[in-house]
Amino acid sequence: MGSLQNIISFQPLDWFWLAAFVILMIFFGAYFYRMGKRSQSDFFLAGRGLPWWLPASSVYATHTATDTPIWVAGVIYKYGLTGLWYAFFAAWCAISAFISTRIFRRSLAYSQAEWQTLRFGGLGAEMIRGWLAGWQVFMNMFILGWVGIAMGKLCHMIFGWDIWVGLVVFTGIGALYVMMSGYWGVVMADFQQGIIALLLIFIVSVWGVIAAGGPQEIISKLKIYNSTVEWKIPNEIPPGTTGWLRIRDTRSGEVYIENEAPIRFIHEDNKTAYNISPDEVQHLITKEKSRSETPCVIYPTDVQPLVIGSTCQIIWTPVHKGKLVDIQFSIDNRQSWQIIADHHLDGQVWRINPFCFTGLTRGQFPVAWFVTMLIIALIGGFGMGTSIDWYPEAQRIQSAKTVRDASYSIWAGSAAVLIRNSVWAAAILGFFVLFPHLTRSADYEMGWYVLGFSYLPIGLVGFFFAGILAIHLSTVSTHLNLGAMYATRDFFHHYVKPHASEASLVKVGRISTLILLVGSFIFGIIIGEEITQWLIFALWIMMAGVWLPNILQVIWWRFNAWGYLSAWIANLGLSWLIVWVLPNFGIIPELPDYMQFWALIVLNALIYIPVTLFTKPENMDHLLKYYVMCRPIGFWGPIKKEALKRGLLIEHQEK
Amino acid sequence: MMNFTVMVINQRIGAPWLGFVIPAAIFLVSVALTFLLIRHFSKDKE
Repeated sequence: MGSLQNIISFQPLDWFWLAAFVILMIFFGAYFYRMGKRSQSDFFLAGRGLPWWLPASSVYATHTATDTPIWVAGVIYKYGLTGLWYAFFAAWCAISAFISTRIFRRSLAYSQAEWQTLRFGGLGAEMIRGWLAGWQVFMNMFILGWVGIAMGKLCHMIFGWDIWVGLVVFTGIGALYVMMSGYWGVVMADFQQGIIALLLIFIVSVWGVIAAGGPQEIISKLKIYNSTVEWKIPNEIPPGTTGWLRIRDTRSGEVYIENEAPIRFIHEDNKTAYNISPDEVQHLITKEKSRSETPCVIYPTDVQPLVIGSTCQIIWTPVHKGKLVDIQFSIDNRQSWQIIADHHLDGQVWRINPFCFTGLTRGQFPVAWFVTMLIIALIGGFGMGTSIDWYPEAQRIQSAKTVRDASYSIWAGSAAVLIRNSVWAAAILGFFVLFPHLTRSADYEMGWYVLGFSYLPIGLVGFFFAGILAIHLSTVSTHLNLGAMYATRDFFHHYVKPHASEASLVKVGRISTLILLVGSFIFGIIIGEEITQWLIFALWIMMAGVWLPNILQVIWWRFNAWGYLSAWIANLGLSWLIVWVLPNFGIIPELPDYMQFWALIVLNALIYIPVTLFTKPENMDHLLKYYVMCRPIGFWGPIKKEALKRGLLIEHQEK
Repeated sequence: MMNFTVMVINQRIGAPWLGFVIPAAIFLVSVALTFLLIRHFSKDKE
């Protein structure tokens, strides 16, 4: 096939469009240099004067990064439309827009770390602020490195550049206008980049769907494709063994299919005997003529030995499309059967049903997992910091000119994110129809990029890469400015030089941006291949134990700094224990992610609830100041009563 | 990642002029919006 550079073949028209869009984006970002340098408030919050649609477009653009289509393609390819629920956590903004967004905007805090000192008081609050600021500087550097290296890899594949070139050049371009214009540059460029990215996603996805034959064709192909399940052949099977496969109904146990002749398992050294190519696998899944009259296992058969330790797709003619089946194998001449997959949906048409549950806790789409995702999305909106996305969102909330603008911006930006996911999903269903045989996640995760680079005409390929660049720049610019804000506002201004002039704060903001940039290069090169492992641990599990405290701090007056701080400390230890240490020592089984979430919620509460109740409540004057300013909802009865008593609120205001 | 190379196939869909017209339209929209925003916020300058 040759190298990718030859296949994609950038023509002069592609280079022209790439150059035109890059110049436009840099110009627009840098144009606001004079406004960005006016004050700390301008450099980090655009002077808190933006109409809702500007931070809304920034929310959308920021949360569309070069790795986002990789991730969305991965879950949609694997789980069909149910994969959309993986990305549904973004819906926390739908509630937050009217609850925590309003409370946070009223506080006038620059950052979440600063808000903590308004909500809590004393040493505990200072410790939380310092911790959150440090954690956010680290996390922004980490995210920058992570999206930067994704860009580096993409450039390596397209242009053949060394990985560090794409990382350094394209994150560096973002840093250029962020250092010049601060948040003014970020939010203005995000508006432009958001529009480019949105149109690009629509165009590439439409092209992909057309390549797959159109929506109707995609659905009809999914109806006729054969059933598949991925199987990693266990290393424990002795070479030379013969085995049997069967497909049976999950509920009744009735056996639908059993292969007629035994299959053979061979050792890895004998790899040449594995005589089927990916193209042939694709052919077996898609071609109706490969089916016989009676339902059967199409692959493997007695003439295709399986290599022990390898991963293959078992392919069979669907018997009851959409029903649950168990796939089992036997290596003792059908005396006993072992599970390959249970609660598996027969056929392929389930891929277009976002609600094809596979049981309460079993299979690939259990009800328990779905309910957990709904709770995280909906209840999470009552808190602050319940999602890692809260931190960039908080900056956008504060940059809106009114509380109402803040609400609209968060709601609209997240709605665009969810709509974008569904457009991608349609394209990835098309990609599945074209390439249904992929088993390596690294292959199918590139689905959306493959559609764009394979099917777009000359000129649009250059625009495609310019759009990818827009997606990249909008993300890195946000995280550069956000990390710099925590370093400047919560470290330098708060601890080092409280009376610093506005000019020196802007200067520190620029220096911090540069430090973050250099740090992200180092991170990007270090984290390399272990991105996914880190992602899951840092962004999901590390947040699980503090999810509920993040809500309690907003809605419960009695929750105090020591309770919140203990939740963070306990979570750091407990998440390691639950996710890695205890399962590795066999003390507890390896839990599915949603069970890890609930386990951490319960175990952590056993620590921070007693800590809260055994330590003093926050100072009443401090709580009153916070209550009157932010007007939180929830369990604030005693504070409201005291505020009314002192005349800080009058009764009709409360109504 | 190597299989990305294998999977990408050169099977362009659509008329070649689309590669000029679509990016040009989006570019013009971007430029127009850019200047509208600059004009809107220029009164805020300095």
